[in-house]
Amino acid sequence: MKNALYLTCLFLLLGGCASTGGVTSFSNTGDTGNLHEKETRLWHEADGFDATIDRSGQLYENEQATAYLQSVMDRLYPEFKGKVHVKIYDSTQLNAFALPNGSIYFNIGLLARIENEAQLAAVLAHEAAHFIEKHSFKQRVRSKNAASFALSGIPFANLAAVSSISGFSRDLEREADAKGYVRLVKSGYNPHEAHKVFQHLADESRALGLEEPYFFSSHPRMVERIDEFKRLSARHEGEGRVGSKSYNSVVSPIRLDVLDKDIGQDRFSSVILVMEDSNLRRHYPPAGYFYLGEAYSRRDEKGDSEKALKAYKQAEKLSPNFSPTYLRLGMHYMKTGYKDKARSYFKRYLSVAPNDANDRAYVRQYLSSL
Amino acid sequence: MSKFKSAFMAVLVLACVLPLSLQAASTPHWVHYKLLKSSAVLPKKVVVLPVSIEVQEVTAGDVMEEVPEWSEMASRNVFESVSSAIRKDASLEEVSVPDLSDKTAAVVDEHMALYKLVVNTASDTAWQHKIRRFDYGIGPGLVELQRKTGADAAVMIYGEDYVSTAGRKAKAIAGNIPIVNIFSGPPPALGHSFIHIGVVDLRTGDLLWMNSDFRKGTTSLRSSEDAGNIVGSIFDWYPGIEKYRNVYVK
Amino acid sequence: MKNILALIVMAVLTSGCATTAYWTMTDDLNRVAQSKSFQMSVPEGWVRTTEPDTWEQLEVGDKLRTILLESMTVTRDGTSLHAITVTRRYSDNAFPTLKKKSLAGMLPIEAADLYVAELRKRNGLERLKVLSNKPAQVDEKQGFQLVMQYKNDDGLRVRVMSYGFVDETGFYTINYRAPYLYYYDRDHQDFTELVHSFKQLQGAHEPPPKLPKWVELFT
Repeated sequence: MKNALYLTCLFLLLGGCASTGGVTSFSNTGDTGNLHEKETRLWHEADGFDATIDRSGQLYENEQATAYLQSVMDRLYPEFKGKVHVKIYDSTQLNAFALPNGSIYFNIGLLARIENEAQLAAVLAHEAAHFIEKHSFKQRVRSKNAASFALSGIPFANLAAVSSISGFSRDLEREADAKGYVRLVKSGYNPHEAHKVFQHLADESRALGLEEPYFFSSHPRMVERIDEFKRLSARHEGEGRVGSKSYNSVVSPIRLDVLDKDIGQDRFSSVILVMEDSNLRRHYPPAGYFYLGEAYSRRDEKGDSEKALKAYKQAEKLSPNFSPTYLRLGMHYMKTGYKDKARSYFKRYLSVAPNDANDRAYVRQYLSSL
Repeated sequence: MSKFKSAFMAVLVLACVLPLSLQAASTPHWVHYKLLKSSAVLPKKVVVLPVSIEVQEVTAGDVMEEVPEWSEMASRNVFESVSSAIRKDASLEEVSVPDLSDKTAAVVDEHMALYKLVVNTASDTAWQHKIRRFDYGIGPGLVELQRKTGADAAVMIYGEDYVSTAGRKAKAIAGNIPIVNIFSGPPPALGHSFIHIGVVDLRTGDLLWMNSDFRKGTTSLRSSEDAGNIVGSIFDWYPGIEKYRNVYVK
Repeated sequence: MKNILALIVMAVLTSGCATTAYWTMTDDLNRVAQSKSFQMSVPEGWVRTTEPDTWEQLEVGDKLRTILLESMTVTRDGTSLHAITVTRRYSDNAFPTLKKKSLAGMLPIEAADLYVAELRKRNGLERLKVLSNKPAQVDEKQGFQLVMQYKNDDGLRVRVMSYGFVDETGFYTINYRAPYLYYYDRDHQDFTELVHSFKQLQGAHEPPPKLPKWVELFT
């Protein structure tokens, strides 16, 4: 019985040992070479995640955009140039996350919703702060002996639990907000843009009836964050860099891609929300109206076929070289019995669409049947 | 016959019949049907591809963490054990892996990914016709590697090692003690070691031979002795053509 | 007592014969695999499901739903490596995760677009890419041929070719999934022959069956 009690105590002691005392942030690139043994393990796991994402084709391939995001990060944290790597993740979900090894992933879905470089910088500054303050390691040490990783079905579930994929603890998130904000201002960005990111996303979540997007899943509530950023920025008079033009010239084609992917994954509500809001729509290329038409076609509620037709017509007018519009208009008129109009649109499609366009064979078939 | 004798006879018959119906003879290894032919020629020169052994440390709370230094050590031990096993086999000669261009390395990586899927599928197959005529492969896409090395076959190895922390081991002990285990919970599973080895014809991609070993308990692939024992027990079945034929093909 | 003993031995010996094997080996005497709604000729040496699967369970929204269908699977080496799947979905649940029906007048291109979205959603495969999408005939019906590809976590390219068509009885697909390396080309001809042999049967026009009672317990 004595031995049993001794073993119980030993087990409880070993199980309970966890503290984050003594964990210091990185101050520059040089620090990243002096890692605690346990930190090395986390980095190795994160390197494995990077390799999996890369070889499984989940990175969004756009060299210009990747270089642009990296340049913003390097402006924010010049002392970490070469250590913090920004990658664009091919997902339309509203998310960005940091890994313990300095890899920052930014979803194209979130890129599409952001309006300018200052807002981008606000998010990047926050994510990089997680890396610099070693939040992954702090969170791992705290929860090491707890069976708290209930993220089944997610590859690298353990890593996900200590990265901002699913959110850090609230105090760590607040720290990243505060430190990120300081860096944003120091780098010359307009601090009044920071709260707008969360404002837009809060509005969108509410409109779509979504739970708060991943980016905010265990973060302090969005309302609290918006208020906090407003309070911080109220101290700053003066402007600072906004960078709308530079941002939108890079991100504009990505926005169209995001609309295409949203339709391809049946997220038609998001497309309708964006394209029916003039404030959001102004950032999208006019060909976005085609995807609005697609979204109404997919939703197929009462009155949607008329709305779809109207949207396709708008795309025809504003983006005359966007060939998919002519395919859809041709199909609409073919199904409603207007053969001449259908023929005309199908011919227009063939004259505008690239030679290797997937739908050419369908169009030729429709023309031969009309 | 008394009632007890009759009951005893019934149990005896069941005891004989049940095992016959449930258990069939088996071998742990697999041999490609081409090697079962009398004209078959076994590979002579083999190249051992880089070994990938992942060593994870598992805590009392079921948190798993790969330990890169341990993985490196285990991979090195297994590689050396395989090289040693090849040297002991007079019919085999090992050639080194050459420097590969990025393009060839990418091709090898994808074939390794295909190999893992093929061996997992083959290992799970219960169809008698696939066991009798084992014909899995990864295709002739590694011919560039064959050309560079002059090897007839590649030895492909992967595995894993799960090591329990001291806390987990203590929990396992406590979990087996009555009353104490009310507080500590049931004993968690302790570590295990697993190695899978396959020999692939570099010209055709045929999976000529494969075998694996799974050991529970305190085996550690960081120990060169343990790694050598497991690799040795796997290679004891190479090529094992007659053993395979006797069980599955006769 | 002797009789009881004999009965026990008989029960044990015959217990293994009670159920139909899930898989059937195809030889030259049984190449035609038949379901209620369709039949096709299976390549010799391949294995196919003996009876069609008649339902599936999947998460739609946050709920687990049981969906009626008719599906037969064919493989040479094992379904985790490669497989041909022939499926008939009833109109009301043609695209279950999208909660969309198929309509008799639906154009093949519309069915193809919905099918791709369905595959992406149900498999969590945002990265599924469409390589080609063109008109095709299946059993003299106007349909589509899709070629898609994705990479698994190990970087292995997996290719999927799908033929499909819609009519008043539902949505039919003939899918072929295989690693692009070696397997896809190796069996492509066999797959093409199977597609050409596909025939819809009169049974397709019968009303759908009811879910087995025991399945309803889990819905």
